[in-house]
Amino acid sequence: MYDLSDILNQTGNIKKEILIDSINSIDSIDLIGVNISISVYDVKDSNNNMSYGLNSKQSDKNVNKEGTNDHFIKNLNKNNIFTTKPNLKKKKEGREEELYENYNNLYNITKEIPMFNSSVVNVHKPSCNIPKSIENMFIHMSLKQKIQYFVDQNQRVYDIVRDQVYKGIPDQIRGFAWQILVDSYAYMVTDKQCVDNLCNGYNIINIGTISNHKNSNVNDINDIDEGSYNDKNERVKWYNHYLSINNKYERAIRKDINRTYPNHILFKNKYEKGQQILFNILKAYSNYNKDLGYCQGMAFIVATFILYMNETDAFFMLIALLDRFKLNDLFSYDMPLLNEYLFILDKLIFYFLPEVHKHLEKENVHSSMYASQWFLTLFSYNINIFYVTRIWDFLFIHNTNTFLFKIAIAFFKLQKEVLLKESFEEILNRLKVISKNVDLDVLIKTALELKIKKGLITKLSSQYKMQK
Amino acid sequence: MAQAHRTPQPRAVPSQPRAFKLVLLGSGSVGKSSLALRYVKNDFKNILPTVGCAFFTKVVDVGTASLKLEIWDTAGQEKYHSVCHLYFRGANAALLVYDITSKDSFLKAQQWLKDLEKELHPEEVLVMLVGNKTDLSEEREVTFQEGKEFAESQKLLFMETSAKLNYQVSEVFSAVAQELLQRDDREDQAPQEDAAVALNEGPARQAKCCAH
Repeated sequence: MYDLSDILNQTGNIKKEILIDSINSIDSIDLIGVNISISVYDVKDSNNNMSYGLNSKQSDKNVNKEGTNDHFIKNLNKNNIFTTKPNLKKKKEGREEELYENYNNLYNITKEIPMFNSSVVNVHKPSCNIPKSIENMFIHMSLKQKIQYFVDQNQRVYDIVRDQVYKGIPDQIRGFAWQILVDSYAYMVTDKQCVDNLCNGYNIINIGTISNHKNSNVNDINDIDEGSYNDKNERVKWYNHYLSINNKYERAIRKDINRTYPNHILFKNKYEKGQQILFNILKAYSNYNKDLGYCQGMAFIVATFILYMNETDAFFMLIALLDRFKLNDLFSYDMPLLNEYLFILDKLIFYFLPEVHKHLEKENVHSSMYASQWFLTLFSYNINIFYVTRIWDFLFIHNTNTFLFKIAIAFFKLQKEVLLKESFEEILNRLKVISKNVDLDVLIKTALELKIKKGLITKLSSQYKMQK
Repeated sequence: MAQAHRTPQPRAVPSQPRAFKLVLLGSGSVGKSSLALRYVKNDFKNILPTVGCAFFTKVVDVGTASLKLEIWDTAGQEKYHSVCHLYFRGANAALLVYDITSKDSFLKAQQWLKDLEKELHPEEVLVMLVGNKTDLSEEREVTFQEGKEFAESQKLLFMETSAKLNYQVSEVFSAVAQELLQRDDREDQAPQEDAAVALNEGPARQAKCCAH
């Protein structure tokens, strides 16, 4: 359904080191249509002998199709892009040098990345007779089987990544993985009302959008193949639709475009691609969600998406993110959710780090002074980009805003001793750029160890509403 | 409810300079952060839009006395209005910044003034109107006269600046600092009664910085 080539092209900003690092750490990954399944070998960190990796068995979902026993993954491999060198193991040595040399031509590299297990990905070019889409598999499944399939697949992805990826999702597939985790692919449904109706449950969306799609012609293979392209075209079409409407937010958006990540090569120059894409997505979103429109802070989130995915995907990702994580009120008029979050954060500091809370109070430092930008940009403001992506990995994997609070509390925990000695001004400066003061791995680890349950957040949230 | 109420203690320990809180208000991308950056670090560069708020301090010498300015830089987008209210509580001074190349931003500054007056007593806070970006004078939409007249009608201080060219930036802050000190001294001498408030009204707010 989604071209793997697109996905890899989207990661056009991969840093050399990360690329190499990820290549070394990934042995096999297969991407299964709408649902990603990541199977990564154990990654041994030679220094501390710790296993960061994931170990999951390859999915052998055999589909009985016209007497053959094909892995359905074959069907997915319609563009046949990872078919260059099946004998990957042999080529691994000396690859690093090669990669450095070829770095300028990223597309070529990604074509050669030994990330797809040759045993899984079919190396033959699919002939025109081979069905091109995952949907063919479903023809032979009952509704119950389809539902089960998606439940299994979703569960598997979560099982794999949930608590284990300390090192973060590998950069090449990060954009794709985020979209899967947030389930932004489900947003093919175009009418907002329609999306709202569908969004009552996580699994329903998967099933709803896929199995309902083109179900009238479900027996005709050709039609379905077209259908899978249409899904993609539909998204583009609707994106373009929202993009074509002019509205009052344009000026406000334009003001911020050249001020978002001004040092990043993609956004550096006026009228260049990055800035234009950023503008387009924000404009399209302000049309999609007229009540919310545009709010400063969103630009940083979208800019980070753009680093990992194409324009249309980033647009749907933004929709999915605000919807799934119920962040709408973070950006709507008067920002009610921001105040709520600030309240919750304050309480959490009080519960977990009473000394820090006392000190902050004494120094008159309130959460609104430093944490507004944390929440409004989901930590993407004024922070090292590597921190954001790692934080988001877990935000999306855990699928709850709780992780944002965990990061905040983890930061305070790690900086406790220093903070307690500091005064108003020093504290605020320290909190301004959190990536400066704590190590990323330590921050993530500390955050994951914190026992902040979702229930606690819910409780504090209702406490806030009561008080209001 | 979240509160960013912080009232600096103007007369704390004698050895330490008195602290005053100053907020920068105005619509988006008029140059609030740039003014602060120019003044505090004498730098000008492409800066991120302010999300929430930013905070700077600077110690200013006014004659023999010195005072510490706590500069609160706020987000300009209208949506942030409610959030900004949190920041300007307890402020001793406010800079209402507009962009001289944007009539709209000038009108917004007037709106800000109304908001500010709702929140704070006019006597409590010293307000200065600042027209920024004089380096773009060929695109000017708000004349110096317009700015000055509005400031005078509302008894505000007024100046035009260019953060880019470092034109009159430190003058703005020194003028505010000076005025703050004078007010403070007057308050010192005045009896701490309600009557003192009325006493401070009026002439002190004259636009004396319009030396142009």
